[in-house]
Amino acid sequence: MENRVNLEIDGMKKAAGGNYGNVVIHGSAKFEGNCNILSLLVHGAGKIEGNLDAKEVQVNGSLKVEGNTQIKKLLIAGEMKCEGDLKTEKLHVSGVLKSDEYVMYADEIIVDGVIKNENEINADHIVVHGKVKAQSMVGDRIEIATSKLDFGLFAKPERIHRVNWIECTNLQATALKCESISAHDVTLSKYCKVDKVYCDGTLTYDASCQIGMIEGNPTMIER
Amino acid sequence: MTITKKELLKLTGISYGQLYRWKRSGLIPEEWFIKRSSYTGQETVFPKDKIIERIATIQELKDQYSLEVLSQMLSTQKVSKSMMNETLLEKERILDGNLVALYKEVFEKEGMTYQDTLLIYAFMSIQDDIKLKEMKTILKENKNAMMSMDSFDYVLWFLYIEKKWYLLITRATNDLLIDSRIHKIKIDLNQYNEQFKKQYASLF
Repeated sequence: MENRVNLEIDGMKKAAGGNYGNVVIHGSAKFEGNCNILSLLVHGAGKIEGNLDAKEVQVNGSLKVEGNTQIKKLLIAGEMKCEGDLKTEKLHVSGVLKSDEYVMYADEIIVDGVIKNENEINADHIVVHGKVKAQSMVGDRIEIATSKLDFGLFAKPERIHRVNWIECTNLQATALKCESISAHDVTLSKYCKVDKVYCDGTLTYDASCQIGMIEGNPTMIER
Repeated sequence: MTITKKELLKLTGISYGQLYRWKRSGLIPEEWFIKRSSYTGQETVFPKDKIIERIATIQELKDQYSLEVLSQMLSTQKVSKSMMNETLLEKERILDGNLVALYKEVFEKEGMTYQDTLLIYAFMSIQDDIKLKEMKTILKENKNAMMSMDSFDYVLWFLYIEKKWYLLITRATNDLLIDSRIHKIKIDLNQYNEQFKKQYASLF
């Protein structure tokens, strides 16, 4: 049977890369090299100078991965920065996730916090209740909503989410600023501003939305 | 020749969701998503023949295998360096024993990767034209070039010039413009890869 070491780090520790069992970081830890970890829980600060391969990771503090990251289930309540591709099955962000120029792949992404990405976010199902800033979002069903639409009497409506390019089968969006959307069915709720929509199914839009060009001859419904 | 994403979806009847799921799973290589600028900003195009053939293969096999298994079968990066079960190859009589022996001798191999298997499988289709002795010379003379092939995105051109066979290797995306008097045999490794995996899916 494979021998994996469990680690619980309270102070500061520098460790070599390798195979680990359950790792809990309360203090500050740096792993030098690629890591294969069964479960990683970060309450303090963690840094991995290599690739991270794990079954389950929960970040309550902060974690930085300098290589590619492959995790089955990733929960981020604190802050995580990926300096390589991030591939997961389930991703839940209630804190902050940054992955500047690398891809973010998952089966399901739920964002209650903030997600920033300058490359491609690709998932079957993406639900955003928090805030997203991304170059492109692609997948099957994408729901971009917000709970902060009460702007006050004289406040200007704010476009909270910015995604340059969206391609999916079904899109529902609120408060989104986007250059181009291509989807089968599109529902644009309050305060969306989109330069171009290609839709070959149904395009439902709110009167407060600004839409530039529409292609694909969709069935249009205003509500 | 390329095809745009919208044309592809219309032609094959798949959705954006499926296309991107297959990309994520490695069933469609990322390098086939070619971004280019258009009058409305940016659009994605694909190498037409390859993507249509790949989608047809996925649609044919997706009910028989899980995405994970299919990905193992079709992803060239994952599978090209993986070792094959030689006993099974021999038992199923998939490869020609003489060609296997010759290949192993020239390339000084003990085990067989999928890439080795595929090359031998492809060479079997030209055995009537190129005899074993000639094949040995070709492999010896092109050993380094063949060993540097890092994917299946290559075409092997066997050219018959002055009663001798020569090998020319090009990238799959490049055409070969050559004197029409030269007799040539084309081996497109991508095509053989699709064919082999469809025919012997149980090996993966």
